[in-house]
Amino acid sequence: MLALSRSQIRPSIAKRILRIQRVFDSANEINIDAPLPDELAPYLENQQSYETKRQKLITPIKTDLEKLQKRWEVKLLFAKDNPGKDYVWDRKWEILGLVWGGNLGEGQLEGCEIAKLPWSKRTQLQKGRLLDYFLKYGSEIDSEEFKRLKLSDLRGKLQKLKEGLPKLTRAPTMMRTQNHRQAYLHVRGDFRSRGIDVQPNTFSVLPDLAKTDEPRRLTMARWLVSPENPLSARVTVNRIWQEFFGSGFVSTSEDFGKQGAPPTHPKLLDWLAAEFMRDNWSVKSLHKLIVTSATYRQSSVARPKIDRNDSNNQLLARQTPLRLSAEQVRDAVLFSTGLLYRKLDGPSVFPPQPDSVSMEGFENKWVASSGREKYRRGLYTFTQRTSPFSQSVTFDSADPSRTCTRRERSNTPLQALALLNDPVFYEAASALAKHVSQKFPQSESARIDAAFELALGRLPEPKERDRLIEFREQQLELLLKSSASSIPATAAEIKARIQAESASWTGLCSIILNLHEFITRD
Amino acid sequence: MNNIQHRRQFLQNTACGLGTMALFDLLQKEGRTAGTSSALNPLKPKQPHFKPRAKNVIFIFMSGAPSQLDLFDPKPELKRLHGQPIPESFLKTLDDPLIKGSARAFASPRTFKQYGESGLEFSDYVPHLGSVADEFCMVRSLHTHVSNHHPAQQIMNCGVPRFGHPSMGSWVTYGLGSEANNLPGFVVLLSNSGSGVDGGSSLWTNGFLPSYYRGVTFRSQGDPILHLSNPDGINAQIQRARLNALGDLNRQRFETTGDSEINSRIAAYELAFRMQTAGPELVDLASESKHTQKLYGLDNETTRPFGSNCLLARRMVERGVRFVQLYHSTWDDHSNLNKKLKTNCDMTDLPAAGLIRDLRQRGMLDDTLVVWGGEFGRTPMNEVRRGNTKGSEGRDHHPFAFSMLLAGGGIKGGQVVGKTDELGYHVVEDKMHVHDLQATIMHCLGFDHEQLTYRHQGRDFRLTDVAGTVMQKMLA
Repeated sequence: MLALSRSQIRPSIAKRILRIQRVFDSANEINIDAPLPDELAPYLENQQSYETKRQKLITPIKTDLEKLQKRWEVKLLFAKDNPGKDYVWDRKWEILGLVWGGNLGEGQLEGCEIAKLPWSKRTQLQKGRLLDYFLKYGSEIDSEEFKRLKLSDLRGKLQKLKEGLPKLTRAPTMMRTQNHRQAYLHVRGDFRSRGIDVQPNTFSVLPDLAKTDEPRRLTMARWLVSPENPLSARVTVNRIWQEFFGSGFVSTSEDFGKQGAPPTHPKLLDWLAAEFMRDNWSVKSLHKLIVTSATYRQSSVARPKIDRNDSNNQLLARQTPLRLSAEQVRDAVLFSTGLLYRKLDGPSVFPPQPDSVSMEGFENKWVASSGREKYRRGLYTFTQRTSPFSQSVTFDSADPSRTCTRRERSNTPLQALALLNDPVFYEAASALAKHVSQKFPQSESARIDAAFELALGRLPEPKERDRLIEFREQQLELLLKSSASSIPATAAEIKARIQAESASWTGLCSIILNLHEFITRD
Repeated sequence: MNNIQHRRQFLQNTACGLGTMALFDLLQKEGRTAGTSSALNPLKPKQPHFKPRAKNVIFIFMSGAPSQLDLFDPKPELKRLHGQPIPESFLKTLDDPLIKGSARAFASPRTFKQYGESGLEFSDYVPHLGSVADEFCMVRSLHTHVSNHHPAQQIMNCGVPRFGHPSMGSWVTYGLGSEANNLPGFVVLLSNSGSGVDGGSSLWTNGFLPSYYRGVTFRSQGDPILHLSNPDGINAQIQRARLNALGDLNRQRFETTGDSEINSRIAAYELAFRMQTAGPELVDLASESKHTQKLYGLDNETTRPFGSNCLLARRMVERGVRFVQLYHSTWDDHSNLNKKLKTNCDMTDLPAAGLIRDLRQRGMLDDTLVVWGGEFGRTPMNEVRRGNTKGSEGRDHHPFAFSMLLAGGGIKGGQVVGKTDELGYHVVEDKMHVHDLQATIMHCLGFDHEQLTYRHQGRDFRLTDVAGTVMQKMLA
């Protein structure tokens, strides 16, 4: 109650939200019987006798039972219509919605929907379902009467009977609501004082929904992509543009309203939106159109004269270098070192991370995936809202608790520490080292060239190659110094030398994977 | 940088916070600011709206809701009613369906004693807090409007009972910046007696504020900062050589592309290297005197985890960290209140008092605000949900009245603010919502809480949502 009276939402905004809510609220999630081929026959065979036996158990007390259940329903429906009058029954009405899904495998609101239907309009199945729920959760209406009618006994018997009936597989689906649902604008945000019943529609500044008797989700879907509504295409095009250029035409990609930023290239935005619609909303074609454009293909090399007048490169006189996103950084490391496991689909994976991360949340568990699963693409990483994957957080992944249309691109020491020291990235460097060492056992510069090209897509400049050679020699020397003597004599010393050799190549590959260029789209 | 500097000197010389921002200082020193973007230092210290009383905050968040009735708010009347139903008059206003009308009054088994000149009352489970009673402003009149942990923790930490809003620490570092050199401005320290914090990192998120205002967890296990230590076999000298090669190659790239982000990247790596020294130095508690270690209970296994965090908090504040948030979980004593409450008190009582005493003797308490408390209170009745039997009683969640302790930084100590009814059920005097507490804390830091805002998705947001009044009585 207080929560709502403290609501940050003004009535005019609440009204706009409720209009949309009404459109979405025109359907329920429910499960239907969806028998697999061999399930139906045994079910039908038994169903008749099951129903007869069930009625036989109910009949002796039928009149009293119905009377009691009706009393219970009256209480529930009163609570539904008069929220805030009786907290106990408010909660029961809420629980009817909540529990239904958990216990009966049904769409959450099915119980509420049945209770709202007059008895004469309920199917046998609906009657049975609500009765089962009532027997389990309804005793507070009159516990004496419950005892007298021995209803918990009855429940046990019905339950047992049901266990004997062959099961049918069920499938989730959507169904239009049978009962017209209201969306009240609450006076001063208090859920107990109902104002007007808001009618389904969209925002008033946008074109109206098509006139149908009862606008529903399909109406909304058609409206979203109708030629009279240019907003969907503009917003989509803007977001895609943003991914290619770092910023959209409208920099506030989440807000095209009065409080958002005006577009930098309004005509181009409109043209692209129109092309997008003309091309049957093909995202692929739009990508192609953008990446083959002269603007996209420009070099990102700084142009000091122009940059002075357009420091954020809004006018796109050159391309903008962009740091890769959290998932891309991970994918790039795994891909260029040959570790990436390119399996599609399936459940989320749990790449290794320090235990201290998952311990931040309440009883969160993070059991690291084994084998190749830990090398899946970043988008398959499990999202735990109370302790998100640390690598993603470090590289500015979106807060999984909020909608996000654009991400930050920060540049922090935590990123440096992750790229330098995270065991996952260091292991990747070692894999790359092993790969190029095996491929080019003899030539040092061939190894360097191969590693460089795999990671950066170009060969090193002579200066860069020289620096890397120098680095490796120095590493080798330091590594040997820290382990043993540099003149191999015994077997152990030879082994140490081999280890140091391999570690120096891992170090070199790690340097390449830490270059600014590696995590930047130039 | 090839010479290994003395640790202390590192701390004094490396002038940077943890995000991009403080790199500015570093770049400036190295004469490389030309060509880098101007928004490099968002954590630069800033002035609040008016002269602040507190510069730093140590917020000891007792996750799970400690029982105010067994620690700070004695109710002799409950002794008389013990085991009986709660009088009708109280239930009339009861509007929380989670609390059953059939609940029986549950008198606190604790004994209370008055402490200090002020005579503040503390129970026998927290005698050490009692020993610094005169420093505390004990608020007994807090209330909140949600009765489950995560949303209530969210509102206490972030001002709204939903996901995704910036934490108080983020707001404060956004408003004040940070004076920390090579540490983040907002640090989080965790300890527990079994389970983690319900809300997890959603409680110290930057929400819609830029990511440099996010709370950085200092971990008690493994590296204090993630990936602070080098891979196996890499010593400081080898790491230095890695950094040198990286710097050279990045600089060569800069010569080709002129991308100013490369300079920031080089500086970020240099700062990372320095943090590798500063981090371990900060968490090296052995450098404190025996006396200090004892003060925080480091000599005792029970008090050490929480005590280490308290001592770390002081060391961080000394190094300019703006906001240190401690979480200790969980105080959610639905059953076995006697035993479980004692466990948590035994772990935290002595170190928390030690922190207050240490801050005072070092002259730091005047500009450091310390807050102690949870997300809501606990019921005057025995919990009935789980049918607790005699001897294993507990208390349920109670959003209508709870207590917190505040000390230092502009708060008037040695006083009680607010009063609850004879059962501790409702607040009867100086009622304070969580937003009022937040407004008061912001006031101590020199902010008009209504003016510290951030524009997001078309409107200005603030910590206190659309409410909050400063409680003048609490101020020194």
